[in-house]
Amino acid sequence: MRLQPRCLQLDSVLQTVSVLEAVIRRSFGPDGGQVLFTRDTGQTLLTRHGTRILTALRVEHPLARMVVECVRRHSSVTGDGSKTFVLLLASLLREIQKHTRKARQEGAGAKRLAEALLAFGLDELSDVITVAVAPHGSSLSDPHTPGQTDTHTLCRLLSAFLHTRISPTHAEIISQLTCELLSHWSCHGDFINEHFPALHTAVSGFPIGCSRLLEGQVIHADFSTPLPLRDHGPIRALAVTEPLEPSLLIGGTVLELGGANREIESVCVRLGRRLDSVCVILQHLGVSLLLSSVRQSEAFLAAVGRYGVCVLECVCEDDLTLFSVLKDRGRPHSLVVCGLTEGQTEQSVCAVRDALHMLHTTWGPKHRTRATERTARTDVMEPCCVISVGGTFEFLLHHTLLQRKHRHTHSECGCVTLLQRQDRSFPSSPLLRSIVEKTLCPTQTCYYSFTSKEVSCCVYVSIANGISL
Amino acid sequence: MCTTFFWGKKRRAATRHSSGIMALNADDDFEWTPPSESEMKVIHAQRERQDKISKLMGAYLLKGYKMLGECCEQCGTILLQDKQKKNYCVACQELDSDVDKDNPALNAQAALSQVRERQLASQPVPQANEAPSSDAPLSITGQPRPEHCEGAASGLRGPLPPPANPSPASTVTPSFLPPSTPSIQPVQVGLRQLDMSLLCQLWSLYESIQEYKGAFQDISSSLLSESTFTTENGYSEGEEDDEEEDNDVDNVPRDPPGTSLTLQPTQNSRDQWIKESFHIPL
Repeated sequence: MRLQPRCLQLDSVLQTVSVLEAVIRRSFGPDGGQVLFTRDTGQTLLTRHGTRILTALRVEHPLARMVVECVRRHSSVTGDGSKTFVLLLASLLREIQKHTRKARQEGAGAKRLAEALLAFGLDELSDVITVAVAPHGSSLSDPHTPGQTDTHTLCRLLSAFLHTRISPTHAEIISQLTCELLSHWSCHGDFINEHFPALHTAVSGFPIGCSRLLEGQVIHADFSTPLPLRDHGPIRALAVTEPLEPSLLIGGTVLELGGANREIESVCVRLGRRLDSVCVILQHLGVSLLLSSVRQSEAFLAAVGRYGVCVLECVCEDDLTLFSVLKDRGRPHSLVVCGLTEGQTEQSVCAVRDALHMLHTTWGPKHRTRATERTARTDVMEPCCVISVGGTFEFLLHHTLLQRKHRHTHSECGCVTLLQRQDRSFPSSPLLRSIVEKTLCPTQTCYYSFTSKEVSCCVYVSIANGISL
Repeated sequence: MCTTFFWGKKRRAATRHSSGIMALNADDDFEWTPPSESEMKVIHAQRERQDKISKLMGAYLLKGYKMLGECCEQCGTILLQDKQKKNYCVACQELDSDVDKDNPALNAQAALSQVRERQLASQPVPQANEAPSSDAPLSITGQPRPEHCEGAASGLRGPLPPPANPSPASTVTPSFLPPSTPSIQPVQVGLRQLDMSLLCQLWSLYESIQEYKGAFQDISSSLLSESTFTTENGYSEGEEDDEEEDNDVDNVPRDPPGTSLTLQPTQNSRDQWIKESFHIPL
């Protein structure tokens, strides 16, 4: 059967996205399954995260690669919503195809519809959400102390998020620890998000129940010399990023002797004296711990060992940065995440990192420029709006769009109808119905963050961007 | 980075938005009307097929197959490639083959079940002699046997059933097949004829193999009985080989009656074909 090239284009686009949707759909929702990827080297990757699943697939189809790249970028901005992205994209494309099926020029009609959708998403959707959906949500800010975060809501938000990433038994433990970590750091989400690589340690081989919060900063180093035991007083540490020993004595270099003393012995003695002077300076400063991001020479290690200084070599750059920043922050806490296998540990760590990223997005909206543009608007939405999970957002949006359809002109009706039908098709899927049923149970109330402008707008805008391309 | 990207798009889209909306209004093709009943059925059927294809492809992707950038030439589905670098089209090789097993033009078993159904449907009063006799070879077994040649052979073996409908004019089609309805394409009839001829050849091959098997068994059993007799003698006499050779030469013409020993080359064209095709030394 020979098809016209234009019809095939939309069909092939829809087919590609449907395949990705079929891959993702199994992991969607609170009861979604996990995917286990195995490499030839024996490494395993266990994940429910949409972006990780899609990037781990072997895909050569250019359109599919573009969609995966869009999902990855979306996830890097928001920290969440990659599966929702693919599901909404597939649903939108199906609706567009249904609407342009009878048009004479299907491809051009679809492109026009997509552009109209993009415009709607950029201009009006955020207003719709601000007016209709946000008032029904709760705020992360503490009502009694503005500026502080309501820990109860925060914990439930984290718990709901981690339930979508890790299995339920582990999610409770990890979410509790993350809440504690945030409370210790006075919920400075930005700081924790920025320094998370230095603030966590992944340990494989232990059950996940062994995960804990440790007081202090855990410094990850590849090599260390033993620290001589002394009285429990404060220890002074020095962070260095270069080899302290002059590089002349490093093997492999050719030394050309000049000057009056052309003997190697005198050179070595001079260098040795320089080394001693460094050690004396260290002793004078009272330094007993040296944090070096590079390897120091054996001679140096021996020399400082004589003076009772412990050296940690090949320390992570992030750790050194945190170390230098921490002096103003008081007592730090760091997270130790345990897992039976490397895959499990990796999964938990990624989940916590994405949770922090999502919180960072919730707390600090990036589109502050938009708020200044719309000074005429009276209803500016709070940045920390949180809406309960299970289809509430979709229902509210659908209801609002339905109301607006009756009020607005026909020109916008097309886009509104499209969105309304797409929204109707989204909750009508049996998967979402089951999610709604389960989340309406009193025993399992999950709060999920559809951070209004950030996630949903990004979702719609990114989808519309992708289609119009 | 993402922010500026969106804002740039927004400025460009804003100018397009107004023109797009005007175009939406002006373009008559864009009047969206709900699809009719028949169109809805077509849409549903197409969507179901696409859903099946997508699900299968998703499962293969999760198994480690690679999604290629090429499409199948016949159906337009995206091709998959397994780890042995072999291309695979889900629609052609999985979906259509599921459907083919019920297609009587391509499956003798399906053809026979269709024959049976039509016979049962077209004969309201079961005739005493003719209909049961034709159905006997099929109904004795109860469940249809898995081998195609067996099923076809049992149809061939039985007497030809009386055609309920007037048989077609072309005598090439075997008469136990249901008469061609106007809906069957000529391609399917040709395929069916080819299939039937192949089945006939296969059945004849099977019969001849059974004959040979029986013959060889008889020969070997007779040889065994002869050799045991001669070895007993041979042991006692001590000239085993000569005795056996003499006995073998004597054995050949002294076959017990009833054993069809087809060691001699026959002039049968069927056996000729079998010899040529399968290189059976005769």
